[in-house]
Amino acid sequence: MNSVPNNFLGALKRHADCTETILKKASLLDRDDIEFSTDAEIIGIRKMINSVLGENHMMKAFVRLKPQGGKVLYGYMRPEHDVWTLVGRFFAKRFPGTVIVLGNNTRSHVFLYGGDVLNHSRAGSLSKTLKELEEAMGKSTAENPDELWDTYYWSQYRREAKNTRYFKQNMRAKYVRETGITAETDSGGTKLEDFY
Amino acid sequence: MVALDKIIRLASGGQFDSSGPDIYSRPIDLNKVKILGEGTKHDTCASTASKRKVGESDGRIGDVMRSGICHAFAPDGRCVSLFKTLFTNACQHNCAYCPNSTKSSGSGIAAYTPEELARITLQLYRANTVEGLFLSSGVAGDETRMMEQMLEAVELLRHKYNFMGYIHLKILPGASRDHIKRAAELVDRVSLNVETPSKSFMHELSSTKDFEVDILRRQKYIRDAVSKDTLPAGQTTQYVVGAAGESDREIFTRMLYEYNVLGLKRQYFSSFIAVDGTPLHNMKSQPRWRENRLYQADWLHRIYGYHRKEMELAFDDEGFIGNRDPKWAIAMNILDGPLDPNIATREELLRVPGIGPKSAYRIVNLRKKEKITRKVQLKALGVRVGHARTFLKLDGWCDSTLKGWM
Repeated sequence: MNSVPNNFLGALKRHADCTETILKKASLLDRDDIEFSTDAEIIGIRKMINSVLGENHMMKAFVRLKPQGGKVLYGYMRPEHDVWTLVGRFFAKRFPGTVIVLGNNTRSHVFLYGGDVLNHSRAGSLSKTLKELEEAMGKSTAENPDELWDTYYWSQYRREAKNTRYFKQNMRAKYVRETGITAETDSGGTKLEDFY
Repeated sequence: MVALDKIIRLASGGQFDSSGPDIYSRPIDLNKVKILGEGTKHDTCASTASKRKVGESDGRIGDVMRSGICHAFAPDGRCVSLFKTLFTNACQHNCAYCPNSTKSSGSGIAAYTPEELARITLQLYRANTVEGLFLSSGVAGDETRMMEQMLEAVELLRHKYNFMGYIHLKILPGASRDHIKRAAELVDRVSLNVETPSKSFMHELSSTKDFEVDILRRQKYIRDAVSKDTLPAGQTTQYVVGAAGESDREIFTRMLYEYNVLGLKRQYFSSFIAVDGTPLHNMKSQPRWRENRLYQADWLHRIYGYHRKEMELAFDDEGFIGNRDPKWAIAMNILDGPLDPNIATREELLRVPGIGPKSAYRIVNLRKKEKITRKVQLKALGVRVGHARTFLKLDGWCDSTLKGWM
């Protein structure tokens, strides 16, 4: 179980099912109340906070970025909660000066970090935003990070230690779906080489 | 919130550009990636947590995360968080369990150039598939030349490509003190695998490695190189469990020395797997649970603060933990009867199976406000009630049976 952060209201607000009533109730509590309480309603609030924090972490872990030209990295995500700016800020700070585009077929968010300032813009679908960026900044086609990752990922496969239960426990279907990752998803199945 | 046009203008202006030289200009030899990646698949260290802070305004690539991130999980459930690779799989050592040893190199021999390795690391990092680099190597020729090349790759990453992400560098057995010092200034963590608990066990597995000179002495050099400005994630090591017939107690005794005398941050275990083409290919592989039980023992000592004497209760007469939870085995020996969570100390609570540091902390805090009388309260605090109930007394009642205490 995670610890409840001091700014837990900020996380709670991002939950897809958070209402004014829940926020009002939570605003009367302090961090310790939420951390230690055994009251069912407060436990529910704790679960909501943990769900947001968990999704934020998993998006940072599983969203795969692809280059479009030298100055744009983009990735697919469809989170349940409103964690867009948390994840975007993380990537933008990790790659200062690079435009980060996160999105799906209905919406996208664009981030750029530099000179201690985070610039953030909301836009339409991911493909539409990428097209706009391509027109303005160009695109190169030689890169295929999927192939490199696929080769490396499978080089770590230890047939003798295969454990589908651990795998599914750690790579939860919800997050695989929300980030659209593919290289790892057939890990639970049997490969031809398993028979040799 | 700003308009997309402004972002395009700022990015095109290039004043914040951190990308450095083009990393995609030359093609990658994927066969090399496969061969050299496979060479490290039994190395289990995956932690990427580092105390180091990357300056927010210096424009370099790669925040490190205090908590670390697992970017994927391998089909065995292990975290894949680093680009874990060998620099080369050619090796002059003859470790009997190792597929890279000179006596057993069946597959093709491959090696990176420092530049090639740096570019592949960055490509994987920019794709958000890894948190950084874990660089190990066979010893082709001599360790001085190999360490020199490995350090060159790390220097390229840090200085030419502005990469500030996580780097774990393996120190080769017999490496010089100067190379170790240089590594300490560049990377987050270094490690040197002891593989076995003692000189005699090492002798059974390899005639080319001197346990005391090539390994222990180098670990002391690393300990001496750690300071508040270097190696924020410290020094670690790994054991190949069961390759030389050692017991769990022997491994645990070595672990204590490594923690207490050499100041290691963590120790890793990899159950021996008999690999075709190695001298030990006919030996029986060790079960996966053996390494899991050793991790549990390590955790009890390191995180829960169990003393050496308590830990002794986890081992059987022959020095093995067996496939049972060491915490349970110890609890059956040291707890005289069920504990009342309302009055037990934190240390006592920590010795109850199903209660960890966080739930013990929560129990101690909750009981200041209300009395704990129901299992549902414990569950809400994160206690694994099914494990703990035999050892706890709630409102005067406990679930323990006579059989449970036999």
